[in-house]
Amino acid sequence: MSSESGPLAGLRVISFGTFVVGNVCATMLSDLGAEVAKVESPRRPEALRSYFSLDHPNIHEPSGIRTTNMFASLTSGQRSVSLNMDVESGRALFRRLVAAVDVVVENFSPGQMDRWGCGFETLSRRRPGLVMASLTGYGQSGRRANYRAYASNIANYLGLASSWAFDGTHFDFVGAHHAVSAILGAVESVRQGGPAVHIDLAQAETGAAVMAPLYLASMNGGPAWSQAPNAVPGSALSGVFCCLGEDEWVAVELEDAADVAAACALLEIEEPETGDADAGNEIRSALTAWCATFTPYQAVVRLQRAGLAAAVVENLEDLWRDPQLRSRGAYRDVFHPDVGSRELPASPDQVALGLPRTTRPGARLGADTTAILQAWLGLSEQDIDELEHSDACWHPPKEQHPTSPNSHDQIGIAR
Amino acid sequence: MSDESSEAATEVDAPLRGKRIIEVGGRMVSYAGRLLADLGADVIVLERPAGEDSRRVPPLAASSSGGRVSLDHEYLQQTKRSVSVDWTSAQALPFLRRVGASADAVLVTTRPGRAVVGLTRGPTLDWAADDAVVCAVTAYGLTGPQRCWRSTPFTAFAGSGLMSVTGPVEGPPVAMPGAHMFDLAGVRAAYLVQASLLTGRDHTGGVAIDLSVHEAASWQKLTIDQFDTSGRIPDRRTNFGPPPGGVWQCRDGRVDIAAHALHHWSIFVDVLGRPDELADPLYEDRAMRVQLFDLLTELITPYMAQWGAAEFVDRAQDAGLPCALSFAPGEMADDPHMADRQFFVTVPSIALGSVRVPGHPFRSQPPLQVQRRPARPADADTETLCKELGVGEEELSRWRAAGVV
Repeated sequence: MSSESGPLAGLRVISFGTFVVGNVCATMLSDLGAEVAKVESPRRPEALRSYFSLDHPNIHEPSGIRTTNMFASLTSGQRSVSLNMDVESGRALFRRLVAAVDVVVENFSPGQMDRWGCGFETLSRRRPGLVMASLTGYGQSGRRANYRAYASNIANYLGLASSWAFDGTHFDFVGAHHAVSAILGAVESVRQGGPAVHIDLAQAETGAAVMAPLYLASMNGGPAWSQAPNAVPGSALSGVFCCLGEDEWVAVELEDAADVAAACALLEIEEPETGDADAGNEIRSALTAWCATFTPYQAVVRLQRAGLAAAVVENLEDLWRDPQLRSRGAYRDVFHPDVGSRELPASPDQVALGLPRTTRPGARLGADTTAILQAWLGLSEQDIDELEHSDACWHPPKEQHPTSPNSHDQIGIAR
Repeated sequence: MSDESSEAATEVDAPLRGKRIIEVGGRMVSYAGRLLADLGADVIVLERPAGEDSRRVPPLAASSSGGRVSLDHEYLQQTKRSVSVDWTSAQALPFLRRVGASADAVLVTTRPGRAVVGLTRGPTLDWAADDAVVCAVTAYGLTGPQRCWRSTPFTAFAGSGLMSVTGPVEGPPVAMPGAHMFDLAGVRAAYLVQASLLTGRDHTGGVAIDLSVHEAASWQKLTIDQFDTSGRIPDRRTNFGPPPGGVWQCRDGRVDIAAHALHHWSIFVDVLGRPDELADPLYEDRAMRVQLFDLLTELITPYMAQWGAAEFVDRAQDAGLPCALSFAPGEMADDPHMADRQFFVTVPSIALGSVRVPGHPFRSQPPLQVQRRPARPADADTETLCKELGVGEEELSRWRAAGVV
């Protein structure tokens, strides 16, 4: 996909986004057509480049910088510009770049951008109409503002973990999704003549916004949340049922009386009398026995044909083979020169809008430094060499890898 | 950023002021409408004459008139307007066309047995304006073999890939409570509408958006895990990070530690006072800690039990270790940090007098989001809207008599 496709074509973003929330936000903007430059340096490489996991063995780029499958996936579509923010010449170059962009994304602890002389006040003087999104765990203010936070910390703080699973995580993605909406709200405001906007997004707050069903009662004088696992308040029946095979399950929810009637017809049992206290148990027992005779898809197809909400509890392989995802083009092939050929999930937004799928995985560190400085600032190769000698920026040795994947895509055509 | 950022934008300054957005079909698009209404859009919810199911979704609270009011509905429908129309009936098409002609975007969801009239797989909506953004949010998308399948927040979570790895090893897998996967898709729907409506774009006609909850829900797991290269299928035995990651019982509560970086082990051991039995350099190797999960858990547990939870979190955060108190749902509302941020707000409620709800999901300087207004009773804005659209009383009476409005 070239950088001009999508509704955000022409929008320029520079991102310090790291790990999940910052990278996912920046990648989502890229998926919608924004041109995104990710700032790293050999001294401060992205944490995902060295994230240990059985699924993410460390791989080295020709320059010696490490990378991982996860980096290739979570920074997909972003270009890499290497600036050295540890020296003033690098910070000055960043401020020059900001004058050429619409949006800055960062997820440092509060105050880091100010310490670099790159706080919102400074940057918005250089770039009137700038949108700067600061994404943190707890926000820019309040007594926990400086707390470091990963997704599991936020899930525990909000009570999701204790009501679901202590190892469950989620809210970094929730924060990233909301950040895109916040940024586009700010971009719209600026395009209508409004001033520069600084967004303060806390994962704890975006998480709390979608957690509301679990605590609205207790917050308004009602009881605390006390649902059993897989129980859905208000539904006639919800549960997970074991199917044929090893660790194979389906989830079923009967929302109302019409669903109960349809389920009873399918299971060939009598519809319970209104007010029958044991009705749920009878249907649950019948569903348990019925599901045990089918594979998950055999059961779900029958339940859906009866008009009922049911789904396979899909593991990772199920998702990879999922016929619905396959039929809608929800996967894409990408090639990374160091990681190799990959099949990554496509952006749900690109599927929804019918856009071409991004084919560019996360870039080699600094692979686009020269191209971006030329296109965004109009610098010559000699200018860039001088900046590199002053340690402001860096690009990998040309003989080792002249271009990032798909770097033939034009940069900075539309503003 | 100053605390002024928590103030609301005036209606004049909100970025979506003057944009009219129709929300129709049910809970799957409610959160998208919530976000767009916060940004100043005139969000009009079309409700079937008996009122939508969302008005009966728990948690429920007793109203002053003796009825039961859904707090979830109150929260999601604040600042929106409610218009009564049977959107499943072809007889409603003349009315829907009048409403649709005035809208910049339509957020629509549909399900078998409760289809929104005039919606095609395009997606197009034959009662929307030609240049409108039509954003369909459905369980599996409007195309593909499962296009007619239903989902609920519970079953949508089953397809996310997150459920299969969560819960007791012997099963069953456990779903995240709440409506997370609907709302995650809802945020996408909101920003897709925003992106499509951005001023300065070359508008060459309408925009059709076919957003699948299943795709939105499964994307998270698929981007993180890498079945295509590893062939590994994570299960409920392997979903834990090694110690010191995880939840620990302290003297007076629980704490969660996220030790993802290589140096976090060393910080953790320092915070504990570097006891001899944890000082073995072997434990600095994360892969080794995976293998020694049980042993390290056994060694660490008594040390953590000596700490007060808040004391540990403050000390460990000072030392640079990501960690947090582990609360029950709702307890964070009493945490002083949330009070510092004034995140929770009390909004007037027509049914309940007032209702306390989460405030704006982000803040900004200058503010972009409007002050919330009370959720409206079903049908409360039908006549007002008809007047705005130039629909005469006689015409409205005819539709009311036909039972479609």
